[in-house]
Amino acid sequence: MSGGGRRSLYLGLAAVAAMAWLPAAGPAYYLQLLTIIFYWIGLAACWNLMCGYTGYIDFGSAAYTGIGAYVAGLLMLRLGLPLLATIPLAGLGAGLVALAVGWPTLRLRGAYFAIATFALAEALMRVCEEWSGLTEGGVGITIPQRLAELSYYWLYLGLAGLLVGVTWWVEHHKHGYGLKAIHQDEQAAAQVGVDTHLIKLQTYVTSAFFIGMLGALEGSRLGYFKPDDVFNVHITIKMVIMSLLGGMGTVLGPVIGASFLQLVEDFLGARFLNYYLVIIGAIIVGVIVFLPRGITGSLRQRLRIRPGRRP
Amino acid sequence: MSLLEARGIHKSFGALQALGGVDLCLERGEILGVIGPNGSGKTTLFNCMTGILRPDSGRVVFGGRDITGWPTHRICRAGLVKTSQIVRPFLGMSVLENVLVGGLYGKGLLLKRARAQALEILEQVGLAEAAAQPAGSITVAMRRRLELARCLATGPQAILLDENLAGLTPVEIAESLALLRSLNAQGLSLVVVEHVMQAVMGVSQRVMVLDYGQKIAEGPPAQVVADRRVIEAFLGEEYA
Amino acid sequence: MSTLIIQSLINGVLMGGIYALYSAGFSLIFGVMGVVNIAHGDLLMLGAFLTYWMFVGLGLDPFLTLPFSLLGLFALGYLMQRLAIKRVVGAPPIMSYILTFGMHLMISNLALVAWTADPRTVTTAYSGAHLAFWGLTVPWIKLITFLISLGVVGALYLLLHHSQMGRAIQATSQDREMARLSGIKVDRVYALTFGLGAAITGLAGSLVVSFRDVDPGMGLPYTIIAFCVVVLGGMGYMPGALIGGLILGVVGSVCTMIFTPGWSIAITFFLLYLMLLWRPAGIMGKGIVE
Ligand SMILES: Nc1ncnc2c1ncn2[C@@H]1O[C@H](COP(=O)(O)OP(=O)(O)O)[C@@H](O)[C@H]1O
Ligand SMILES: [Mg+2]
Repeated sequence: MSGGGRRSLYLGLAAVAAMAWLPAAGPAYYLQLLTIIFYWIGLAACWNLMCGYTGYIDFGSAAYTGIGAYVAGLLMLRLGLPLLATIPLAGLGAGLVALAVGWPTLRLRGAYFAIATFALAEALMRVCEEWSGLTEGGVGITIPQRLAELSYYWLYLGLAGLLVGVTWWVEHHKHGYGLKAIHQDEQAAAQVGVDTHLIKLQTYVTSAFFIGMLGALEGSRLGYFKPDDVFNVHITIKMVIMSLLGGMGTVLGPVIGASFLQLVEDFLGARFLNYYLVIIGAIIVGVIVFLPRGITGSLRQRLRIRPGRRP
Repeated sequence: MSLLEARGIHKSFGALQALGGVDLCLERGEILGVIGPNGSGKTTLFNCMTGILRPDSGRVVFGGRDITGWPTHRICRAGLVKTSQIVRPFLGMSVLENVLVGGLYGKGLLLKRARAQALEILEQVGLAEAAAQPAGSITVAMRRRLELARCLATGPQAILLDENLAGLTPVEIAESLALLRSLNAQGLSLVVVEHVMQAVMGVSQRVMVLDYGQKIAEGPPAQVVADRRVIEAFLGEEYA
Repeated sequence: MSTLIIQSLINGVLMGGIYALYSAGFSLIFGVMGVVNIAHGDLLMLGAFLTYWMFVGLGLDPFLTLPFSLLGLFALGYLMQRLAIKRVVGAPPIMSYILTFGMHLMISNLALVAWTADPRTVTTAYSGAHLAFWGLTVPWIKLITFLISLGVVGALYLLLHHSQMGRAIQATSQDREMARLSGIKVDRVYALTFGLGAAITGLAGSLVVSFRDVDPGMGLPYTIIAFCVVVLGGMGYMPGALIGGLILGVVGSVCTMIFTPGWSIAITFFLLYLMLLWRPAGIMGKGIVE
């Protein structure tokens, strides 16, 4: 195995290594921007791993950032657990919910899977708002512990790197062929022995586990949040758009898409406070209308570079 | 005991009864031909045996185990696979990768071993040249062989071929039949479905005939072609 | 107690009419083009603002603005399809989600910049008028709105099944290529369909103005409700919008009475989720299942 896949990996690793030097170089503003970028790379990579490779469009991924944030937050608040101990537990919580949700839901196809996951995420948000005995409801919770700014940077960088690595590994091993076969033709995949439901479920749960951890970390970084902040459908949509911009079902797609969108958002948000969501909307519409293969895919096509193909 | 045995398979789609209690029996090392006019239920029978459809009633026993209601992938791993009438390669993958999936999942091979096996199989079915091509770019005749190659990669004991020869030229048909014979000589059991009789008659040791979801004849090819009911079903009553 | 229940049933049915109206537009667009329109609620919001400004600026009675929102939103929908949506017809569904989400961002945030987030209300001389009997109250506005909604859904149904244009739409939704081959201008049919869906949604917007306040962010929840209604009734199955709308209206209203509005929404979504698992083709089993 040679060519595109491995080259992508090296490129990715080089980019990550370069990023590692950056916070030392600039003012705190850039540290924060980079921190957020890595957070989103992580989320987009999770989404891409499941949905980009299988074609199952999860419109409820924010359920897992929400569950992660609340599990970690409440464990700190109610049981006084240390922050770092709550993070993997948050991932576990999100993973367990994903298992229960994915089992029936992953039998649905197309728009139905998208709508079902979306409905579930919205329902969970409302439950979180209404069940104030457990969650403090719509008032939100204040997280008593926080890590240093630089720690968030390193943790997000690490998770993003890990997730890109996992994606690369999947792409080049048995699991990736299974996922791609499912994407192409689920019944044909089953006919040659692919246990489609199991593979989808494994991937879905893994993806939710990491989304939960990222959500938990971000919750503590924010310090205070309401259900509407961490279960927000806009979180899901951003993951989707980032994957799509960068190229779904590719190793580096989420890295490119998340960096691009987050930088644009930061740039526009600072200059056109009122109009920046309008502009983001226009960019999305423009990309779909003019670059339907995502930024990388369309550029590749323009420049006539074929994706690295292995025999 | 037979390798594959289906007993009393019933299947209806709404008001339409596609199969009305069909029995099928395949011995080890045998080539069984199944013929029948379009819409007689051949594909439905295959789908019921491979778990793609669930029969309304009836049992399917394979290698001594009752596989009725098993999911498709599990039936495949147990050694029973089928090629689809409408070929469905994984279009975004190369020809080799298509076959690879069968080895990885159907047979549980490791990547390296599966790759080597895939190359061998492509050689065997005559697709070695096309290994690196995207599956979307090859001809229909090649896709049909790819469909077979993918099944072979799962290491089956029996393959159900659903009109795998449809739309091929006489030369291609002859090649494919030779391939099927050589696979059979290696110990593979086959059920060959066609709605044209001739192709099947030459290669099958035994033939069964379906019409409107019922088995109307079964036996050696020569005896079946002479059967009055079979002639009726295929040519209409006036010829009988 | 029983009056309370009957009252909430009545409220639910009246609300269900509106749900049915704009969900019919959503369902039509999905059924014909396979496009899930996330900007759907924003079209409703535009219809509502159109009525609001005509009421405030010209002193026009809200019910008299209906033709304007019908035509205005038809034109907008037609253009949206022609300029952008046509790119995603037949593409993987995710493209249509993303595209229409981009449109949602554009429309709702432009509206926010133009009209601020302040909620606005329309109060007419007859706003408080209602029928009262047996201890129950039925506001006239809601009753009339309900009847108009039913009328429009019925008209849409007739249009689809008994007109030249309707037949072209039906043919296109069943098999695009066949329709093209038999001389139907498929692009135009899609534009008409999207225009039609947008028009009745704008109409629903003009109708809700009479009994709720209007703000730029009101759209997304309506999109979500349209999802639910259409899944309940069956995607792309027109009479299903009516059935789904009434069920959702009643369930929402009864849950609100028993629990709180928040729980009512949560329950609605769980219902939707279970519905998808149990009967993806809708209660009547007549929707489109991929
Ligand atoms: N999924 C389905 N839904 C409804 N009817 C079906 C379905 N599959 C097959 N049929 C009907 O069942 C009958 C048998 O079809 P099939 O098994 O494909 O026949 P054959 O393969 O012998 O041509 C036909 O009348 C066909 O229309
Ligand atoms: Mg057939």
